[in-house]
Amino acid sequence: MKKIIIHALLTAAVATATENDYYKLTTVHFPKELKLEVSGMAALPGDRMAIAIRKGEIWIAEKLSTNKPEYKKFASGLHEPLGLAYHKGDLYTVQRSELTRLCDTDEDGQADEYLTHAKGWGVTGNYHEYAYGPAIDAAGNLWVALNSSIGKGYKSNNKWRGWSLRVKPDGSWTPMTGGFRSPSGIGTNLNGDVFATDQQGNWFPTCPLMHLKKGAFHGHADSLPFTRLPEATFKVDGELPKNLTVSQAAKRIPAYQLPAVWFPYRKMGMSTTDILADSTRGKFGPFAGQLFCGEFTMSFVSRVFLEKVEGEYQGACFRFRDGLDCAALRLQWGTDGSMYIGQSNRGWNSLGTKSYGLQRLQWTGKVPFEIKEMSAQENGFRLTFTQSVDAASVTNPKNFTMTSYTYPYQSNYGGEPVDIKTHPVKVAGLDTTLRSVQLVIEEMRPGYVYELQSPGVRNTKGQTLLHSAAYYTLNRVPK
Amino acid sequence: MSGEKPKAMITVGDASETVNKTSRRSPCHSILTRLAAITFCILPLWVVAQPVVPGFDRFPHDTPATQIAGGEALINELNCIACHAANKQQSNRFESRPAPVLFTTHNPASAGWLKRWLDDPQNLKPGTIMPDLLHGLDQKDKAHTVDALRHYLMSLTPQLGKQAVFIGEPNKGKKLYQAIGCAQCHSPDAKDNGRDLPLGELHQKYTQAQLIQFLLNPLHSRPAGRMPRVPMTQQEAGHVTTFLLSRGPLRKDSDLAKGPDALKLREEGKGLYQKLRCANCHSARGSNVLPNFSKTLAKLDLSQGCLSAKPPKRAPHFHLNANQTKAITAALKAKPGALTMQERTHHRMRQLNCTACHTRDGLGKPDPARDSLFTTTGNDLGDEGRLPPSLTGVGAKLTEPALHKILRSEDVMRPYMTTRMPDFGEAHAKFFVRHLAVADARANVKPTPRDGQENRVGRNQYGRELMGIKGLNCITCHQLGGHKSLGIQAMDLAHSTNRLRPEWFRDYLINPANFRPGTRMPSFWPNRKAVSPILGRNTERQIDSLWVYLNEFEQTRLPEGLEKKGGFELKPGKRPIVFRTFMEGAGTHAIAIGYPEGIHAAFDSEQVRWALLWRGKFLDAESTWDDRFTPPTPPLGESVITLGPGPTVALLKNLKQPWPKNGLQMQGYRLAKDGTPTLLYSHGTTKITDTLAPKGKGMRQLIELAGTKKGLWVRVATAKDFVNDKPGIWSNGSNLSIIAPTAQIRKSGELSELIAPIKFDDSGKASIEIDWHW
Repeated sequence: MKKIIIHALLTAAVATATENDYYKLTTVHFPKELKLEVSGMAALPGDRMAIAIRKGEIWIAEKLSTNKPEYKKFASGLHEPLGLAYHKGDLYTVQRSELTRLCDTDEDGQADEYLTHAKGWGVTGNYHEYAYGPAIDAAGNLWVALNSSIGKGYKSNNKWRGWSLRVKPDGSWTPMTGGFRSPSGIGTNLNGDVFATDQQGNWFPTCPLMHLKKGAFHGHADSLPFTRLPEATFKVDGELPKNLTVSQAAKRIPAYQLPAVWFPYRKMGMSTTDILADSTRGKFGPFAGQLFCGEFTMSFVSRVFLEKVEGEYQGACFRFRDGLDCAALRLQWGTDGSMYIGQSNRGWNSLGTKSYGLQRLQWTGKVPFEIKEMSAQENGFRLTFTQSVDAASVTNPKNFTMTSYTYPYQSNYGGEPVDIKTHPVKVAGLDTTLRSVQLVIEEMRPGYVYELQSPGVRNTKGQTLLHSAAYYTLNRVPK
Repeated sequence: MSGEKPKAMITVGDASETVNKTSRRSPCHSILTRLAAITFCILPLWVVAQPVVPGFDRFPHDTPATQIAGGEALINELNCIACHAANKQQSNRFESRPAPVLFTTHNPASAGWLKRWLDDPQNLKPGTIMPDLLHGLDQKDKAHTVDALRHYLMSLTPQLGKQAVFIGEPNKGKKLYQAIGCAQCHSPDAKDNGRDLPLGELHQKYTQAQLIQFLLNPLHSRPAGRMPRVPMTQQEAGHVTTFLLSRGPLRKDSDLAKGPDALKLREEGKGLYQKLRCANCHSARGSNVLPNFSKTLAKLDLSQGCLSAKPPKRAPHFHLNANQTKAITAALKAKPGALTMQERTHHRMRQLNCTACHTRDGLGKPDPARDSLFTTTGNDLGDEGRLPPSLTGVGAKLTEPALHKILRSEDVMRPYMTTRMPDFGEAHAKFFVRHLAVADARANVKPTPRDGQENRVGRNQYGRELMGIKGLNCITCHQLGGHKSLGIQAMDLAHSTNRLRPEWFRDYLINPANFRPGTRMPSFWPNRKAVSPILGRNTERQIDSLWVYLNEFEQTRLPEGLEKKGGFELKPGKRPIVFRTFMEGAGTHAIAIGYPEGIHAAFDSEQVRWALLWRGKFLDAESTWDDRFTPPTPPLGESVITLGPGPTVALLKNLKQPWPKNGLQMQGYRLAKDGTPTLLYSHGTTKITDTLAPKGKGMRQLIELAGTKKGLWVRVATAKDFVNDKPGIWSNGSNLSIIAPTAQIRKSGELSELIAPIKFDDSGKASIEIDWHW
């Protein structure tokens, strides 16, 4: 009886564990007259952060980690900069019509040269024609992602809308991949490979995380007219086929590259934004090397584990930290290893109580009980946890529910999961450290998302997982 | 979509089968029909069709149950019970469908048209449900019968007087026809194809005045509501009818007999009208002709009569195909129980082809091939802005008066949606209001606190706070009381409390996706937990407050964020303002420069040229900073000088060469200590700087170049003609005066160009100074 009571108490105590116990969220102060609609962030040496805002200014926040930073205006008059990078001593930002290098030649703390580093992509004036970036790859090239003109079709002056561009250090550029709708996040992993996210809508049944691999077609048809141009890196013959799932489309359209990760709609967000690789080497907790993504509408941060199968990226996504004040548009590391979340929800609503601002997410030093990795195997998945698990809970197959589904590939807006199947799970191969377990299932369907729910799994302290759902995008099955 | 082509083939194939069985047409015709089937090349001339009944054709009928449902739809639409009386059990399932009213000015029939129509309805209008009643007669008898009938009919049909009509534009008419909903039932190109509801050869039948009259009020002559009233203006009707009648010349020939011959024929026609059972369907108001019933439904031999492969002489010939016959037979043999309210609703929806536009509980769905005809004028609203809403649970969503208004097309809640909800007439509206409320009633719904004010838990002021930018910010996406929202222009919320049932409003807000799969509306109360701290995060009180606010909206202040903003004017203070934006007259790569002196300029960094000069106020940044739709902004001040297109510097091989369209590379700009920008660009290896800043009452431009290239020129300005007032001073004949001592004029087509040569000194430098006064 006593034992039961203790267990009940333990469970009750466990139930109150929240994200806040592990990752503390604080709101960063800024002056009332500064409309900090954050659209880009770049960490600068010495506890400083350069912050681009949507109305076209760049501010430098000093003494950032004090949470009462001092703000100084660095540049102004820019046309909706939607990204910012610090590279070889200068700040780079992408405006609507160009990639700009900002130099402070007299070192007075304000930019005095606004240099056109690359331009020439089409800008018709359509409001959808956002331009994002730059992301800097392993070779030091700067990447730009261009919003499609959405529904405006091909015009002589909207060249390369919906494409990614790679800009060499000398400013010359070439298109690399196409098929974006609204790629509001572009970033790199720790290998320096470039990724982008996009928005659920036409041709995107839900939000994707895409590897920008030269010659890839990501799916949106508005970018196809430019495949006629000699610089195009891929061709799509004829009209796009209809009535296919994304899984079938990947087989039918050679250039179509499935995203590395689908974020199932609502469950993993409605509007994915920025990408930030965990380069903190453990300062931010147990997820070093993984990716974090911003979520606009539902105002949270998600987490992505990637692996390579047959040379291509794929992996799983998880919820990470909810409850932001506003849409997470940009993510960046502070020098102390805390994550800064730049926010603005202008033009589109989001959960939360504010319209813009900056929040800081700090690891408290406590390790949350999470599925750290979900890795595809020939006959199932291997889960790796952040903590040792209770063997009884993890070897009970009833504690795992696995479903798989794919999505329609269609010009219609969005798309519900189709061909949904539930897979009985067998548990095998709990390793001796109690950190890793093998889930065996019978059917591994390439081109499908495998959704795992494991609310009954507990760690050795009896705690349930902080986030018990994982969503693996199985493009390829390892052999 | 995948079934589209095969479906076409089956249709035509079935039709040719009918042809063979009945041997009505020559073998040659049949071969052509088959050829059409093989090549998918369906021309209206060759279309031979069975009656088109969307409630049958657009639904599966391959299982016993679906066959029965399909058969019931056919029995209703073909109006079988007009001749074959139903027994009590059958009359629960089968309804009569009123046929067009003939004896009215709304009937456009002419003597010439009637001749063709009565002779062979399927030929004139492939897919019509009007049966051929004269198929058993030989040619001579038939000609005489037709003649007698049309004499009778025309004698009772008053003619529409001459009317002035609006002659529209066929292209506009076609766009309307495809966008407002016509093409969801009729074929998208308005050519009869044997699959969609046929139009018939309208130009043979209607004058434009008659067709306009019909489109504006189709329920007058066609009370069945199958052709509903799609709301449109007189002018729109003019466009649509011009399009529909553009297919060929109007034929309104009249060859009726006169005098005693006519009277004799009329009398004979009246007898035939009764004998042939015309009066059974076409209510004979004013004609004193009584219906002429046949065997009751229960007594029918289902292999005989209308249903036999070759109907006997006296039976009407509907040209049913094998599937239709099978389905009708199955429905007549079936003895299902009484229909539920849901079944009744679905039956009626099939009859009215509601599923051409709507989905409901898996009843049916719009034709994927027509999906692109659903369009929107709203930016960013996605499919919710374009596709008519799902009707699943609509009876639990809308109040009865709201539903009634919608069904009578009196309520346009989605003005951005181009497809229009038509008016199906009062009887159908009443039917649906009554049935949907029962069919969709949700069990165990907790009532909202709305019954009696004392139960209220919400307050207007909190609702207003929640609506505004510091609350849940509903107004970012939703319009409110005609006020534009801040972002996308989604549905106006001000009418919510007049339309929605409060329980639905509450439950929808808590989990929108539960009611509208795929909606982008987020939940602000996920798992019933409020995200806003207002009212102590009490979900019920928050939602009720929103309801109260919307209910009292007319008397209340707008939420924060919708109240007038303004205050976006950029006013240069001590330093110049450099501002990039989309600008009228300077393009999408504009760099506007506002000087404290009140003289301003805009540079076009795409063409690499100065584009505008002006005085007074500088710019309004609202379109750049606050308007999602980013319209180009105009100069805010006055005395605007617009400079011509083309690069500032170019290489000319000779003076006859036209000014090149490009050749310069934009490099950016540099700010001086006082903030004055210098534009940087290059012509190949030649580096160029260009500064244009106030000087005295005008502006001074300094162009400096570093290089060695010969043949470079600056083009200062263009005009129709320049007047050379004094040496080095040029006027454009209007208010602009330019001082450019080294410049010269050259003619280039219609234009005069003021150009100046660039001469590098020994150190590789050159400069040109230009003063601008206006």
